[in-house]
Amino acid sequence: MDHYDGLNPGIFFDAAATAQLVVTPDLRIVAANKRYCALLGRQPRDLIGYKVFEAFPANPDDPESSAEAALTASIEAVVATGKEQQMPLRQHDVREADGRYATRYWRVLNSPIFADDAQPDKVTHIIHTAEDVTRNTLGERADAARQRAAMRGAELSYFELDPVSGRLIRSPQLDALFGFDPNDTNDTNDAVEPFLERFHADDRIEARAEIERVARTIGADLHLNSRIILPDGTMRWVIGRGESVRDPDTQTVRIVGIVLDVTAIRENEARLSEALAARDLMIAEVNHRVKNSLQMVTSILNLEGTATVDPAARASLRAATARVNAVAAIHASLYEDEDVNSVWIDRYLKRLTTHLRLSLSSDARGLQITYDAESIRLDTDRAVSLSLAVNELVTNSFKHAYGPEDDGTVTITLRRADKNMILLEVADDGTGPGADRASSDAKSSGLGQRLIAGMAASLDGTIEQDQTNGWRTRILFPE
Amino acid sequence: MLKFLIVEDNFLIAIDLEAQLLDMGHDVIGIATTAPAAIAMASVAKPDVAIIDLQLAEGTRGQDAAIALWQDFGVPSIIVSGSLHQVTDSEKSAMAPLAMLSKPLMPGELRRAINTAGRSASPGRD
Repeated sequence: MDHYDGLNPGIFFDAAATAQLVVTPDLRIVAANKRYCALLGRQPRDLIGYKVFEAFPANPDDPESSAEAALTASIEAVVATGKEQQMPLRQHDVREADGRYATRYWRVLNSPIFADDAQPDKVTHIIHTAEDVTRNTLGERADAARQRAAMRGAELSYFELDPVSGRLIRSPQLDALFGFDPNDTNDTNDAVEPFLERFHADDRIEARAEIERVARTIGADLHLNSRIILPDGTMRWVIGRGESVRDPDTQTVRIVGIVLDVTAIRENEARLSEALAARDLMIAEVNHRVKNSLQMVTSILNLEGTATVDPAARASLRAATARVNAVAAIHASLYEDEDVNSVWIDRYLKRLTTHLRLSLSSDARGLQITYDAESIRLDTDRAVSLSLAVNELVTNSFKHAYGPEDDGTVTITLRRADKNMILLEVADDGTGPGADRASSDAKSSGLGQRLIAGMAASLDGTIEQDQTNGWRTRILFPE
Repeated sequence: MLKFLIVEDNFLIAIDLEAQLLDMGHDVIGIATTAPAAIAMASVAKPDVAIIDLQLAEGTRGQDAAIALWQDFGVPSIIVSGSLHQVTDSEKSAMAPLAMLSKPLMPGELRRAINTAGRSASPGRD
């Protein structure tokens, strides 16, 4: 007892900064210090007298666990040699108070105790010192797994470049990407220069400048977007992303980052834009042909009209030409934007109005045509119907509402009415000889009236005609 | 009365333009269907104005005819085409067209373009 200044040696055991267990060679627990009980969440009475693997049964969900065999082997080695044994890092899950198992990693040292004075070389007990390294182990493994997954999953080529020496540390993918043999480092000597030599001549200077720029400022972002040419002449598109960092040990600058092969993406982009250009070209060509065909139709009608002597027949041909032009004017409104299924009816009415002014010689007759249209998109077929109806209505007003010396205005209005309905109104202020069309028009312009009715029907619309100031026609149709 | 050269490879459209011009009281010195033919005819007959389509026969281009007519002979042109969007800004300034009209032509559109051009400038240098 003198040796311990009158203290119970158990005090040293409990005060130890490491978790310790004293076991017999057959793994029966003799003592457990405070640190051990705290680390494992047990009381001494849960442990003393039990065998180690009675107190800490293996996780049934981890059938591969070989902790018991390994500990037995280690203890046997301590007993046989009389020397301490360091056990390799090992997983042994610990059952907690609620019955669940917690994943735990252990580093264990087994040291011999020689307590039998009669047999001083005999190992009577073993001190089992356990260090819980779960946090470190899981953290390292997670980091490594994350890095492996990232590199593998995205086919990433990782690199670390010393911009001063030109030394390039890298993953094998980078060699493969640049057409070097990943198993033969002689072809590059771990230098960046052979890699830079494989950049497309037009991109190489820019790439060097970018690396120099990033090396100048710690933390600057690297942005490489370059073509590389392989020895067989194949071209690849790559992007490089990374940043410059200062190595905490050597204080030197490194550029770390990844290189990604984006050739497939670039080729798809190129194919897509080629296809789009081809489509635009085709639409332009079709557009041109349709315009030319419409010009041929009006040319035929014009020629026919010139060759016709009979004034009535000539007038009919002029009316036919005007109707063709009303359709043609719609076509000119198409291809103004991406959508060929519908047109902005307000823009179109502007063009139609110009066409009507010219074809009806409105200026020469002292008559005005005005239009007031809301910005409404209408599908192309309905726009054609609307167009023909407007052509007939305005032509009728010019024909019947005004005398040769009269001034006047024909107003075209298009606006949204209630409940998704659109209202078209063509009104004149004429009081000429044919203004009262209820009687005269039915006979004189049979085709015109039929066209108006037919077009209104194709719009699912209703027609209303009245005579207040002049003649007014309203067509109400659903949007 | 002005002397016109028609440069148009579609026969029907060409004779319609001719009829319209004759109806207005003008003269038509000929119809060319390619750019080289147009240049050759202009060099001989010296028209006052050329009516020119853009996409001509044998893959030739109205722009080339219009530029040569204006730069070499001082003959201005009125472009009548279904593909006006093909004309670049530099071509437009080299052609210095009196008007650019989109097919299909509206009735009276050509007459108005000729009258407007006639008022604002005297065509041809003679």
